[in-house]
Amino acid sequence: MKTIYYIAKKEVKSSFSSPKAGVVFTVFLLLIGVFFKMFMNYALQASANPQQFGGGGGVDLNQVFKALFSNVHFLFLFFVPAVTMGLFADEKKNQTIKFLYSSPVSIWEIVLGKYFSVMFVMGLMLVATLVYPIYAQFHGDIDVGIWWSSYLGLFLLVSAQLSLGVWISSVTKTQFISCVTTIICLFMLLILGWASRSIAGGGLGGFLEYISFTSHFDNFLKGMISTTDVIYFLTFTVLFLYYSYVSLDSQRWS
Amino acid sequence: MLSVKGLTKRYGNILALSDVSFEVQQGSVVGFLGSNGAGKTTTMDIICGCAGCDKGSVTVDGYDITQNPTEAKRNIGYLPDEPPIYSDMSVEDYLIYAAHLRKVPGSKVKAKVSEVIERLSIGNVRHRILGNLSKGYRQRVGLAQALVHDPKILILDEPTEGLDPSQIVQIRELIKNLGKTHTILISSHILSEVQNTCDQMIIINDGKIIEQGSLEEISNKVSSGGGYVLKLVSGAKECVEELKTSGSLSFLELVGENDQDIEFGFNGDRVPEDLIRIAMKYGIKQIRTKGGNLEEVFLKLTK
Repeated sequence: MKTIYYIAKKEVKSSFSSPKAGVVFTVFLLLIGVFFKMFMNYALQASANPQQFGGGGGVDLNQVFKALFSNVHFLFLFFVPAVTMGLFADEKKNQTIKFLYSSPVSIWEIVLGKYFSVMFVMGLMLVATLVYPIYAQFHGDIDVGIWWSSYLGLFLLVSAQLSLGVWISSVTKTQFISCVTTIICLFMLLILGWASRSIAGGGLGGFLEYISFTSHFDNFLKGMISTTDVIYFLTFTVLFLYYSYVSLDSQRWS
Repeated sequence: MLSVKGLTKRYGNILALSDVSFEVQQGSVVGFLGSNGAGKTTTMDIICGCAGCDKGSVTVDGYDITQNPTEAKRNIGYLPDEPPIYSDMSVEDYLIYAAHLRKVPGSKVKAKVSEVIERLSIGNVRHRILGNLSKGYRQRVGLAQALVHDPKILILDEPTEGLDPSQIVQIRELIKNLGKTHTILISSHILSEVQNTCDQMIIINDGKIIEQGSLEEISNKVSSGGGYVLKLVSGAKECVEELKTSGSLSFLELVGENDQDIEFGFNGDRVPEDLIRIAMKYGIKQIRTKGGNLEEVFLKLTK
């Protein structure tokens, strides 16, 4: 356990001592701020013209946050690869992977240390967004249940996305390839939920819909916490961390 | 201390190592010699657990590297061909990180790091960022991370590669001093380096161990057919002409870049008096066993 902590601590420190974490934090929070302002403006317009927008009068903050969190999912397509792309690709490029391999450290400890480090960085980013719901709580009426289930969903979603990013970084040698591949895979998992029915019908369509992140994440945004969705994200995370372990172990033998 | 048995490793169709076996005894400094691409780094990577092998086993202080990797790796300090440093970390932070990963007890980490910093004379750069250091200092820091957990055996892969002459001398001195307290396996393709620092050597070529032992043992094996080299102050050609007439030698020829050396052999267990008498006239610089110098041994074995 201690070794996992040391590896994670070193990674977090490296992220914050380089401009990487700073840039990621600034851009993410800036975009979230812009989105929040934009959705609030729409909501205000809707409440001012209930007939035109079909609203029932008053600002529906729950809708504002649902739109905001859906956009966080979209933004993570770019921010998750930004933090995971160098995890192993850099170690391989700089030969520091030999430093880890020749130390009395198991591959599981390396994988988990790296995963927890990026989980910490992304977790901090999510915690920073709490300012909007807290602000909204003071000035309006917001369903606290939906609020919490949305954040639980966001943490589970980012955990699954990061595990996929960790795995892709473990199989690639350059940051660029790692980044592009992660964006493509996350994009596929985002759109599969919407596109599944038009791609294929019947069982295959249902399957594609099931493996998509969106179909599970949307339930959290509606305030529904179901065991199926929680298990889906946790299984996805564990599976891709296991794949990372297998990939790193097998690379020593290839 | 270190036992390597029957290591075989393939990269696709290329046979990188074939049945590599050797032993390194406690307290010895062993040179691992081979040309570029001979299999030195692959062997060292397998010994340190950075790579796997298709066949064979590695035992470090009684622990098998695949069955008991944690215990085996605690006894190894590895400096790969490129010092494995994180360019965004400071020297001190990096060594503390290395100490933590190598399971140095928390209460001893600071003391161990300070000790190794002092030993490798890197105190003046301890707060500097690794990415800003010169190649010589990086190599020292690489050695420091290999030493921080006080391993029983040090594996050094071409530690002087890419350094300037003064840095080479400094690193060699360091290794010589480390050899007093540690078992060391050091790879190199610079023969003089091995000759100066090691008491045993293993020669690898095309993934196969072709010779091992002390320099003397190896040269004796290589020059088992007999033969000596005579270096004169001047007049090698004239001397050969004169020696040809004496008839006491089994063979005689001029060698060296400008035919300045004489290679000869004789029957019996005494140097013929004729030879000494004639050679004395031209001034004897040196007489040595043929193949007694490492370059000749190496070239003969690897050709």
